[in-house]
Amino acid sequence: MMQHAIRLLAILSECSEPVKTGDPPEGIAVIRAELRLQALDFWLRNPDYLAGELLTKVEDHDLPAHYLSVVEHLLNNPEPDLHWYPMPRWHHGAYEAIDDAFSVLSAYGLALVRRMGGVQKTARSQFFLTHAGRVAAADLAKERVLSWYTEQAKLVALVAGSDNGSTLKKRQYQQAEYARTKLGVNIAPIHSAVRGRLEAFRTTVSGSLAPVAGG
Amino acid sequence: MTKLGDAVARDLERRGKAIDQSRIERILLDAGVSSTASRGVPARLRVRRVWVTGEKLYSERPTEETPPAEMKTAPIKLDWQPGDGVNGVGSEANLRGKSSVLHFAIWALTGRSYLQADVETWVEHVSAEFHVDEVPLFVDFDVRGGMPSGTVTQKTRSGHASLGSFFGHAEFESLMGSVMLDRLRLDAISVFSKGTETEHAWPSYAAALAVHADKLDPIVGNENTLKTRILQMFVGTRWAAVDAQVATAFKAADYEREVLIEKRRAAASVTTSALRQAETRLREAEAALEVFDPTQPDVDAVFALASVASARAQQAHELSMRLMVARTALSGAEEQLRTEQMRRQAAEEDAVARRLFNGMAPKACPRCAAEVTAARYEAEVTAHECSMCKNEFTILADLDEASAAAVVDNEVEEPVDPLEALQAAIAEADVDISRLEGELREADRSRLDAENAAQRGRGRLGAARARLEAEIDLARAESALGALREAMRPEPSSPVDDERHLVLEVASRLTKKWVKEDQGPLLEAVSLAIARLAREFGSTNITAVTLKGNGNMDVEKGGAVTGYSGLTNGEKLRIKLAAAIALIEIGHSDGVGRHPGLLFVDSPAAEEIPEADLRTMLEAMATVAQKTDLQIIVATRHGRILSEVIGPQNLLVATGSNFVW
Repeated sequence: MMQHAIRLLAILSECSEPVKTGDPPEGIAVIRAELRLQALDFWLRNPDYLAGELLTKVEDHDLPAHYLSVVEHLLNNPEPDLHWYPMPRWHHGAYEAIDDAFSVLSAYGLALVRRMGGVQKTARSQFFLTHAGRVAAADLAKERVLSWYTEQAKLVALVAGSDNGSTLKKRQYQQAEYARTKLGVNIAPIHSAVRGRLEAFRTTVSGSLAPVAGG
Repeated sequence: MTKLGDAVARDLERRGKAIDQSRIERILLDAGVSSTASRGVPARLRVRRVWVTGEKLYSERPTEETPPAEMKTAPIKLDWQPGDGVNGVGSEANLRGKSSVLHFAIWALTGRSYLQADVETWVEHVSAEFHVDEVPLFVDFDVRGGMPSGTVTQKTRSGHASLGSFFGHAEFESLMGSVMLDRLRLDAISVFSKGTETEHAWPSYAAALAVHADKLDPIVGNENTLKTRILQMFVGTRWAAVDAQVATAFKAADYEREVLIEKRRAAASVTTSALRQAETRLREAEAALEVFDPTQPDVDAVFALASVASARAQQAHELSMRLMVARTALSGAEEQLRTEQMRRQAAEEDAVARRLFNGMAPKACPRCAAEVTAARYEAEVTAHECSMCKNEFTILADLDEASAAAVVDNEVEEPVDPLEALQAAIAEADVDISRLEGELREADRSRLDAENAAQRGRGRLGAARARLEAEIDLARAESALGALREAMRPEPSSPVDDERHLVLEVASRLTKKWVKEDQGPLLEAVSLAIARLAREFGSTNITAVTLKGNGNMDVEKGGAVTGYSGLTNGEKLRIKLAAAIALIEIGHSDGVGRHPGLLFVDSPAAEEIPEADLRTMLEAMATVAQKTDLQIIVATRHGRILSEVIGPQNLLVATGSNFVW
């Protein structure tokens, strides 16, 4: 649970947007839907899916080619593999209850949640980072064992951009393994597929560059 | 110098083919031809006693099928002493042993049994007394398991002289043959047919002493191939024996010559072109064989190679299975290692996070949002209570003590770091796998080598088979050529063989002429007697018969002439009986002939002879017997007629359903 709380703190710190008027005064940044928070958490916990998204962005020229080494690192180095926390798939995509983990953050005043709608059915939850949370996230970035989350959350932010939760879910569905997974079952890894794509992309790129290099 | 040798020499000289007489005599001697002829003088053979013991098995109703349980046993007690003249063995019912009496006598006389197989097993002992020209001969034998064993003795002035003993059928027959042929002045009859000489001896003559109602061909004896010879011997023709010997020798020489002629004919039929073809075939076969490598492929070695290939494949398969198991073990260990590493990572991160959060002051209860005041937070140090939930803190020192206590209580174990253990297991599995991969590569190479060797071997096997076929072809070609050359080589005509053939041919022609001249008057006399006796036996319409030297007969019946085969069975029986008695009569009256004067007649009334005719025949036979020295033993179902015609001393008759013995 503590780990989960750390991941949420890193996501809130690196992937949130500025608050607006009408938001709670303690909040300094916000993630405006649980669907988006869950989608971000999924990429943080599944480095192979994150690598796949990064590769797509390089393929689409949304990211420079040197990110290919980041992709390779995510696929091949042991560290990301040790931070693989599979998530089961539910109707709204990858999902794991975040209440307990989030309560750790709120108990220490690092974050707070605001829910809109009734008691029985929440229409939308918004997750705010407090000033104390920002300080704690800065400490986290300096902590040897936990700073990995901060770095990873930056990559997740890069991949997610400003897309809302529904859009992110759609993007995740486009990754075949994710969509094929049955409800309630852990979403399977896609290392080998992404590795194949990476190699194919590199071959294409070097092929297209060869005449230039030769000329 | 012999009469025959002299005659042959003169004949050849007359024809301008003179051969030295000593040479002629040598050829005749070598061919086994007797030097002189002898007119037949009859010897008299009589049955004086037949004594049989044993145990018979019989049914009360012999005409019906009887279950074995209802069969009865009784001792056999036959002791019969037939007299001269006509003797009768009779019963009123069938299957009461009358024919067996004849068969017992013939068994003892010839050494050959014609008994029914079951009757033979009942017999335990047989004693028989025969007289040849009044000299008593005794045949005694036991029967055990169907095998006769016994002795033949002759009565002498001082007692008994043993003529021989025997065990088994062959010895018995051989002994009786040598005893009887000599005493009855009969010669063995040699017949040459299809390259083989066969000798017929005593049993053939003895069979001719019996007249069976169901075996009426030929007129004399019971074998068509011997009828001429037996007739000549019984008639007493002087040159008959010599003629038979010359004829056999000439046929043998003739056969040899025919074989030679056949060979020459075959040689003549071989053409030059056939020989050339055979030579060409041989050359082709030799050329075909030269194509092959002379080093013989070893079939066994080929099969051994296949076996090795199979073993190597098995080894490679086993190694690949072991490799698969090792890889599975490696993958399992790697999975466990990853799990352990993740667990450790999570534990460390959790601990660091916990420390990070513990360094912060709680602000509010996450459940009720109640504020955690500064005073409550500070009191944690003194009250050892959580500022949020008021639960008491667990002091770490206590925990350490508890763990220490547990260690004291329990056995101390060598601490094993699972991470290290797993890494060691993986390293070990890696070594195993690389070793197994090496071994598998080696085994695969070895398997491929063995398979290739086996494949090459199979190829050589095909070549070996082809070579074998080529060798067989060559052998055939050589054999065919050899046979052709052999056939073409003219068989040298041996002057010695030609001379021998010529001498025997002339000798045979001469003896045949002499036999014919000699037996002509005898056959005439016999023919007259046959016609007379046949009429006496009831065939009153037979006016004359002509018995020929070859054993055939013309019969004048009701003004027409017919052959013996054209007669009814009743007429045949009368003629056959008449012929036998006529031969005995001539021998008795003229002292010429070799019929021993003994006749067995079995069931005459079975062959279309009415009871009245049987009586006539018996009376006629009895009349002949009064003036002719003979012994006839008649077996018939008409015991009553026997009793009426024959005196009681010559009778052996069973009444009602009783057995003769």
